[in-house]
Amino acid sequence: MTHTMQELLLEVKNLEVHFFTYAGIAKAVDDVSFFMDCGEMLGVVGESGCGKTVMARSILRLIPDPPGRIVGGGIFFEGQNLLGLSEKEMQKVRGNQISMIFQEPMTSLNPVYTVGNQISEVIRLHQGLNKGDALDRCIEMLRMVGIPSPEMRVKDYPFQMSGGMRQRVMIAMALACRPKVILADEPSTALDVTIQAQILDLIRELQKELATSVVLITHDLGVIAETVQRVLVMYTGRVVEQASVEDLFNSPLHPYTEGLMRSIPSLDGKQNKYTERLKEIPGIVPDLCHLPQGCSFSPRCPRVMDVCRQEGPPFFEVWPDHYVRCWLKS
Amino acid sequence: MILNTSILKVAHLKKYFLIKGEGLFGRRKDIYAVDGVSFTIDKQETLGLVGESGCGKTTVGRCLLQLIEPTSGEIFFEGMNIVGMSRDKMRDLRREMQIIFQDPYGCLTPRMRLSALLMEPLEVHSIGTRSERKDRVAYILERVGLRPEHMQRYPHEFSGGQRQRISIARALMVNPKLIIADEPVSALDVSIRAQILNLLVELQQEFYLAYLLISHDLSVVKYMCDRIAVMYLGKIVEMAHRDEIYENYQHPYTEALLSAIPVPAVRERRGRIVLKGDVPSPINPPLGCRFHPRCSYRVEQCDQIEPELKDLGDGHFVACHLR
Repeated sequence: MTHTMQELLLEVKNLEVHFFTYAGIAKAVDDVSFFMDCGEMLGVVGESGCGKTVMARSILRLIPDPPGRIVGGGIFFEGQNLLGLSEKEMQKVRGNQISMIFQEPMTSLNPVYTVGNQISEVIRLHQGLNKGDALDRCIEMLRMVGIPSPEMRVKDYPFQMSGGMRQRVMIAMALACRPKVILADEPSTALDVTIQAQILDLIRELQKELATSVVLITHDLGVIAETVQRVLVMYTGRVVEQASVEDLFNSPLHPYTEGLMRSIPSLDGKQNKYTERLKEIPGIVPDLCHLPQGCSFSPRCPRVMDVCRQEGPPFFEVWPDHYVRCWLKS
Repeated sequence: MILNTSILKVAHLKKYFLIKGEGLFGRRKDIYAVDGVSFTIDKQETLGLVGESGCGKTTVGRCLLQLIEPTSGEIFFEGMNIVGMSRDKMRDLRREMQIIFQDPYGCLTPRMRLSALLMEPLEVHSIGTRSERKDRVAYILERVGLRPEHMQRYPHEFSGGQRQRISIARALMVNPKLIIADEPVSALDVSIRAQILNLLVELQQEFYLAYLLISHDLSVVKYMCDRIAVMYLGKIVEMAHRDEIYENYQHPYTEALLSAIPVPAVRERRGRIVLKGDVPSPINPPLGCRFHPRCSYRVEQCDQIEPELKDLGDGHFVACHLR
């Protein structure tokens, strides 16, 4: 990895986030490291409970404490460790330089304020604009995300809008201060496929236009394949594979990544229940408080070896910029 | 050999929900949830019902079991019209027709152990003696991939995938002929979905089941179904054999739906058709063809005349003025 300081925007180093629960300590994020360049679109894919949302929230330090705590590692934004900032300094980063789009556009907007009010609040707080200017800016943002007649819609309450519209409002709000990084946590999951296509197109367009960096978090491999440039695959709090989107889909290295891809019924060709059985991944996702010894995927892995059950594998760089956490590639 | 191979025949099924209008004295309004749907399901066949949220696919499923009463229309199960049937008769009939719900967390009573959950359908329908029931429970339990030591556990002790196995086991207990599966894998993790889909296929072959598979996931439907019906705003817009739907679709909505699915493979981007606007409200569906406000091929008559479901031959039906 060769990076000049200008390119490197965000770097997460050995991040550890633990949740202290009655059932034990859940290592929700376990030794996660990655970097992001300016204007890059990075995908994070994994199943529920794999730590992808906790990882994103940790970057903005939005982990509820108790029960959660960032116990180790560093998050460097433009060279500055965010974990060393005071809460007041952190507030200047949140929503201003790094912002977030949440999964549920229904519950992430305040139902008793108009959308105009909610977006202008962000602008006034961070940019110090007065009410009138902030509202103008807000209308401009709504127009940019493709909401028809924005002068009228700023006076609407969230319940007067459809799911797709609300997600557009969320995007407008996240973009309002022209942040350098947007963390998009399942931005299209709650939406119908035809609306999902609209929202993903919008995110792609805006990302190009504004040269913002986007972290796209999703469980949908299809969304990843069509949207991002580089991918992290997460399983039980760890990054198990990291590669460019072409390398990942053309030659997945981790048995988990490979298994996931093969378990999805294909839309192309003649595959159906009469021609072939789906290739399933056996077993279930383990409980984070009681992870198996060694590699956490070992109980479900078709190519498990003795060493896998004893010791967790480190990250191997198999090809340039293609990393995998698996003993098979040592 | 068998004269009539269809197990279920639905004709002109309609379900309108009444809602209160705006204001204190607002006029009551109808939601046209299902508005004239007809289809058949053959023995041991899987029919897929696809569409976006709010298109009425779940309502169709519930009407079939009379869990909600249809406004009008006819539903023939093995030649017998079940609309307006008495409660007692309907209960007997539910031995033949079972449903699997989407949410495996919400549909199991949290205070019943697995053994009681599985025994319940047999008790409700007074099937078998005590020991026969126990045998049946043990047999089905093994068939859906659960172990005998699970019998004394409560639902919260199971994972999502296991709970869906329990729901499937409960549906199978009474040896039905038709199972309505309403989004059976949508709530499950990606790595678990294939397990449940494979299980449904195995059980279909073993117990000679017919399925109505309700789903919004076109890749799941393609894998599982023999025939597929595409719904939009309470109506079937296209219905055909699986391969016909994916390779020779005729309705602009089917085309848009197929092109909107993100495919998990890196390759040249297809010319994606991104539909403009939202799905209109079923309270005030558009005049003429319900898809016309979002359709890029619309012609003059589309906003005036509602297209009929036309037979293009070989069981391919489409409701579009262009065909």
